[in-house]
Amino acid sequence: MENLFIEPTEFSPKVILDVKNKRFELSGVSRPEDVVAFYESITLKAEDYVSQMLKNEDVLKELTFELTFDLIYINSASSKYILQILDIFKKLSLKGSVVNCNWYYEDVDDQILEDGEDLSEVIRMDFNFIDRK
Amino acid sequence: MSFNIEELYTKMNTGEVLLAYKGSITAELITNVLGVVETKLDHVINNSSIKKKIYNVLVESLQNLYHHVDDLPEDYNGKLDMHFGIFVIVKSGETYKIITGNFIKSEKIKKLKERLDKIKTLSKEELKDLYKFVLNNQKFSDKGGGGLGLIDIARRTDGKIDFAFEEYDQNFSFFRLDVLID
Repeated sequence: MENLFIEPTEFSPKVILDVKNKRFELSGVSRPEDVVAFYESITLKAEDYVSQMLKNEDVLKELTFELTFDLIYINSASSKYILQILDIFKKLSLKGSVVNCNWYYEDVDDQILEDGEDLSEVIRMDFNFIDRK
Repeated sequence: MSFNIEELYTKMNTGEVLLAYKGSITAELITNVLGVVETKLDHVINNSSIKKKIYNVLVESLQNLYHHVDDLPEDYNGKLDMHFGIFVIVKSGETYKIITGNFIKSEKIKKLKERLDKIKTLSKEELKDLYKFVLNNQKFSDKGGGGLGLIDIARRTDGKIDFAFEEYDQNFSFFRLDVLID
C-alpha cells in the first residue's frame, strides 16, 4: 500500500495518508478551485487503503487508526468530501478497529468547530475536539 | 428597455464600497479576489469573527456565482464577458453587505425563489438540520456544486438575505442576492 502526501497551497490542505503509522491527516485551508478534482484522488486512495485492510480480520482487530483534521477553513463543498473520507475510514471501526478522530479548532465561536460538530453528528462518530491553543 | 445592467451596477455601488467587480467570473478571478479581500479586511476590520464571516460568505457567494453564470441573453453576446457576473462588498457603519448578481433563465426562477423563501423562514436549528441533510444526501452537481452554499450563507448570517429577480426579456432575468453581515 502506498502512502499519500500532498503539499498544501494557499487554498488547498496538506494531505497525508501514512500507512506505516496508520494515520490520515488533513490540515490547512480547504477551498480548492476544483473541489471534485482535488478530493477524488484522495478518496480513491483512502478507499484502496481501507479495502486492503478489510481483507485481514486479524490485523483489523489490532488496528488503531488515527484521523487528524487540523483545518483553518473549509468551504461547504469540501465538507461533503470530508464526510466521504470519514465514511471510508469508519468502515474500519465497524470491523473491530479503533478509529480516533481528532478535530482541531481555534475558538469556541469558530466556524470550524461547528463544521466538525455537524460532521460528527452526520457520520455518527465521536470526535476529540481539541483547542489548538 | 427597463432593465439596465450599468444602472444596476451603479446602484449597487452606493455607500462605502470595499470592492466591486463586474465581468467574467472564473476560478482564477475568485482566487485572486479572495487574496485581495483577506488583505483588505485585515486593514479595515479588527473584529475577527466578522472578518471570518465575511470571508466565509464571500467564498460561498462567489462559488455560487461561478456555478451559475453560464446563462447569458443572446443580445448580450459579444457585449458582455462570458460567465458574466457582478459582486460588490459595501460597508455601512458596522454592517457589511455582499451583493452578487447574475443572469438566470426564466424557467429556473421558480425553483430558486422557493428555495430562498424557504431558507429565509427557517430557524437556526432548522437550518442546521437542513444543512446536515443536504451534506449527507445530495450528490454533487455536474458543475461541482454541493448544494450547501445558500444554506451555509443563511446559517452564518441568521437568514439575513434578500433577493430580487429583475426581468430582462422573456427568457432571462437578472438575479440579485444581498447578504447582510453584522
